[in-house]
Amino acid sequence: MLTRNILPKQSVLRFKNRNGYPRRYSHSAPESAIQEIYNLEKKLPALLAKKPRREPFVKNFFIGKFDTEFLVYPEAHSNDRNREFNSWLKPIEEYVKKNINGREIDEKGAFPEDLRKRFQDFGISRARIDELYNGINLTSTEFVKLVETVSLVPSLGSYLLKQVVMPVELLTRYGSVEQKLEYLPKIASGEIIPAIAITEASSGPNATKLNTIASYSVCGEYLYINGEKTFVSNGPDADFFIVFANCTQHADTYKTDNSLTAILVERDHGGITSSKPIETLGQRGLKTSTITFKDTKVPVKNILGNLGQGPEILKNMFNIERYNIGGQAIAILKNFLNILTVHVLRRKHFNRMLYQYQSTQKILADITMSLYAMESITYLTTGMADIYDDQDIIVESTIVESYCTNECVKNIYKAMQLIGAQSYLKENPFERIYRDALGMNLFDCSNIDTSIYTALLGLQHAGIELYPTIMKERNPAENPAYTLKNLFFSPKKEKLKIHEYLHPSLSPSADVLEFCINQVKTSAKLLLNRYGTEVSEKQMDLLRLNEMATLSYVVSAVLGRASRAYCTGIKNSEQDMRLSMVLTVKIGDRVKFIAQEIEAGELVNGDYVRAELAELTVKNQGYIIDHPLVMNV
Amino acid sequence: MYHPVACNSSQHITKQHSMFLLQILKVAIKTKSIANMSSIIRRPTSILQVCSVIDQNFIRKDIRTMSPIIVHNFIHTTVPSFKKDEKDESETDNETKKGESKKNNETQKGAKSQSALVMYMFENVKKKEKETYLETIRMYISRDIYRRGHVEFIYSAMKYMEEFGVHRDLEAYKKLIDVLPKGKFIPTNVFQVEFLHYPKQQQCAVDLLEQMEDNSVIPDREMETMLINIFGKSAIPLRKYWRMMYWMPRFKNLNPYKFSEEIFSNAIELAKQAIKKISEVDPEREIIVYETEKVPDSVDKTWIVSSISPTQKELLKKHPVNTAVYVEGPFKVWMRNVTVDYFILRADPVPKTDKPISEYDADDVTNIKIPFWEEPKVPGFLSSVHEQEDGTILAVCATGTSSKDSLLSWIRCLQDENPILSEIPVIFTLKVKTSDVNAIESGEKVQGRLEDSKNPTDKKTEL
Repeated sequence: MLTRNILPKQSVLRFKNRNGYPRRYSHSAPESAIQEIYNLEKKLPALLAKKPRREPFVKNFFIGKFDTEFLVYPEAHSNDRNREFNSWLKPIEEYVKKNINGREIDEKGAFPEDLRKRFQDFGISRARIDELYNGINLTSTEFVKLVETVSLVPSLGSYLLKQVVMPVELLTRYGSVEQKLEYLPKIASGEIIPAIAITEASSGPNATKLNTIASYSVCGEYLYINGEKTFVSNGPDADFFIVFANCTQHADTYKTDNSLTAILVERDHGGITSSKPIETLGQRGLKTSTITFKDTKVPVKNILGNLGQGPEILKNMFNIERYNIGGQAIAILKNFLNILTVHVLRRKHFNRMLYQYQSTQKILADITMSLYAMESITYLTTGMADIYDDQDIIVESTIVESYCTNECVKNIYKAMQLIGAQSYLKENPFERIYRDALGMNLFDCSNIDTSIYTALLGLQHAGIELYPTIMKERNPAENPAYTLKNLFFSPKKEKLKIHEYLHPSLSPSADVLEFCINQVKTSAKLLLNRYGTEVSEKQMDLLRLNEMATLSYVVSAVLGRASRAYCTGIKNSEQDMRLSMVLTVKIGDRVKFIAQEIEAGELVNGDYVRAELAELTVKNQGYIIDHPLVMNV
Repeated sequence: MYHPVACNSSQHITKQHSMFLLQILKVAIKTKSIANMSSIIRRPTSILQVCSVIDQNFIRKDIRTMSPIIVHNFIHTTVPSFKKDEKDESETDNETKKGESKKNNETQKGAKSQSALVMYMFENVKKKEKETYLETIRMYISRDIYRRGHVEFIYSAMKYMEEFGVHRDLEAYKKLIDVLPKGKFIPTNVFQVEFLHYPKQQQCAVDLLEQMEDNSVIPDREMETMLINIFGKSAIPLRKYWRMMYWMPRFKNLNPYKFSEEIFSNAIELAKQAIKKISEVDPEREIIVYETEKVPDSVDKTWIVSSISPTQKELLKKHPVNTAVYVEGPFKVWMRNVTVDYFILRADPVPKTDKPISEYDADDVTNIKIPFWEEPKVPGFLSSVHEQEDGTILAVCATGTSSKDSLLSWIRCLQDENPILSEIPVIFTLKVKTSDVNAIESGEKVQGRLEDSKNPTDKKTEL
């Protein structure tokens, strides 16, 4: 165990000596802030050595493989590290719980003024930055826990995510050493708040066609950036932007192909104005605004990565740490459940208390089950990232993102129906929580895109494995031997034997899991057979396939967790078991239903009619069916 | 709802009668000399001849028991003045046919003079429009309570409908039907029903309905009541009516380009709809109406209905500055029975850059694209629907005058949003101007465009 408990002062010295650059934060930090110094020098115990990379877990579902290694629910850290981390987290938790009033933030549309200072004190902005650059380098698991803690006020979670994750990750991946040395320590200390500027008024989320222009100065050492960026989170507060713009030599606005580049821009470079924050439905503390660049003069060395690398960076941004939002969703739903429980306990409904009704019981239990599933997949995914070296968890992350946000919103809405009129009042927190949850679901990402992306990644993986079979099955006349053999002798089904890796009482559930994975494989193969490479355009089926894969992942995570809980005897582990069994049965039915829909094809499952209706609706720019009161004769 | 089944006069048909009809059918099949059922129905005496003795007796007995008025109804007449004679004749039951043929002769004689008069009535009208048409009908009705020669009147009135511009007008048809007397032609027993009571009148009503159908005029419910009052429920016109009401409303909405009547009297609205129709291929297109008054140096003060989509703007942006674009036209777009001229802004076709078919393989599932970033590479795939094999269409318009000047103004208007258009040379390749939408504004009747396409002299001018 490489536990380190180094005294603060020593650590600072080491740090200085090793890197040999001035600690910028010390200029702005008031000397009296003892706590801040403590936190800046805080180091957590070292991590366990990472295990070698394994094959991707969920992607393999699409070819019917199941890695039983991942049934062991991960315990990513040593006990020491866990303890240290929790003690680091505790003051933050208390601060958020006691000092931050979600309702006030919602009404004002702004965070309390001392928040930035307090976050600096706690060292939250250091979370994901490498120790080399004065960070504390939390693992994925720890960071999601941090997000979960902070997201008690959801906009705070978003604030943290926007600030800490993406800009840091981009700098770490693509930045040169000088750029990292220049900016990462500043971000760590909280001296500067970073933001990313991609979207423009004229472009959608796929921002490859942008109108912002970065033109070279005559001497060739500077870039002049001109353009307007919308939806820049933290925009008004940020002092540092990663801007995506087209670089041109001659300011020719029409010929800007293949020159999309990410550029690091400081507010001090001049010419940057930010509009008033956009009015949003929920998460109102988080300021999102339009940023205008007018002749902002940036040195050429501030180009992130290479000239024209923009599209690649954008593409990879799609994959960066998408599981983090899972932590936020868990926090929102958990908070909601706690408030709801108190509410039903005190509320009289007809002649009894509300909590005594079965309908209430159902909703409380459903939320608990959903939370259980959400937690299970989120922390299984982060565990994968932490335990295995360079593990491919893209699909798992996107699943966490879409499943958690979806479940969160769905459950809150269900419960609001139970609460009734009380949930419609502004004075109660329910509607605020719902709005906040919606923000997570609608504002940050498009759930549909994420789902389609998930399914396509799986199919890409399956396509490579299944290519020989698909080739033969799509051309039966050219492969008579194969076709005839397949016709008379169906290939033997391999048993995954999942039950051998779980607690024996979970063996029926293990069978359901096996069934689910088989169905994912069968459906994936069916779709590849049916559409070939054109499957990427069949989004209705892709959404179905995504749901199947998602649910299968949920079952495997839930079963692994319940089995571990029962075997180690965690508190209420009996409930873990029962809950996971019920969840599994429910999911098994759902998967069966979706598989049938996919197999039935577009004429039976209604996709054909849907496409037709949509086409007509678009053509007519609205509802096409006549009013029921219209008489034709 | 109107249903074909409803046209059976069920209250008249007893079991006995149906047995009898069955018998007739059998006979008709046996004696192959009779070609079809309708000929049997039209010739009551021939049936009497071929039917067995019992059936003959049955028919005679039935006729004998009828009251005189009902028997009178057997005889087809249009002129009430012959009523007395008919009564006498009809009482001699087996001479029905004779009386009928005599009657018909009389009617035809009267009809000739009647129709000449009727023709005169319509021909003489100075202003041929709906009001005078209805007035003529009203005059005919009020002139004579006997309404002599009303069948002929209806026939000739039907001929003049188009001339008066009422051939699509339901009201006119209803007024015409209203000419027929009420109650007189209603059959009162099953035989009248079966043997086509008042065939000439029924045929007249059927022809009228037929003309409605040809002009795609859908009857309304009131017309049903009118027909029932005239012919009773079981007559052929009713069947025709019900059949029309079954099919015509179903066909009514099949045309995706259904326009309200109003737009045909409003030139801008018509042009808007025409441009909307012709540019429908890209649902993103925006249709903008420009006023040339605001364009500096414009001669024609008119309007321009222009359509351009974001994709087209993008294509225009990419267009090389040293290559010309063309303004071409006029082309025709049909709006019901009217055409509207439109012009296009066209660029030369782009050579296809996508992969040849041999390189594209739908079976190669190792290479599935994620469509968020990569455009699909399907053979024959063009980046947009506007890039056709014979040219890229960049914008479409219709102007009030279809003149070259108005098109020049159009290009000027487009330049506001597409500044590159001021750098690209624009060549006008126009055919000789023909008539245009403007005709409506000057109060002329809209008709199919008289295209003078014999000598299309190309005028080329560079902007």
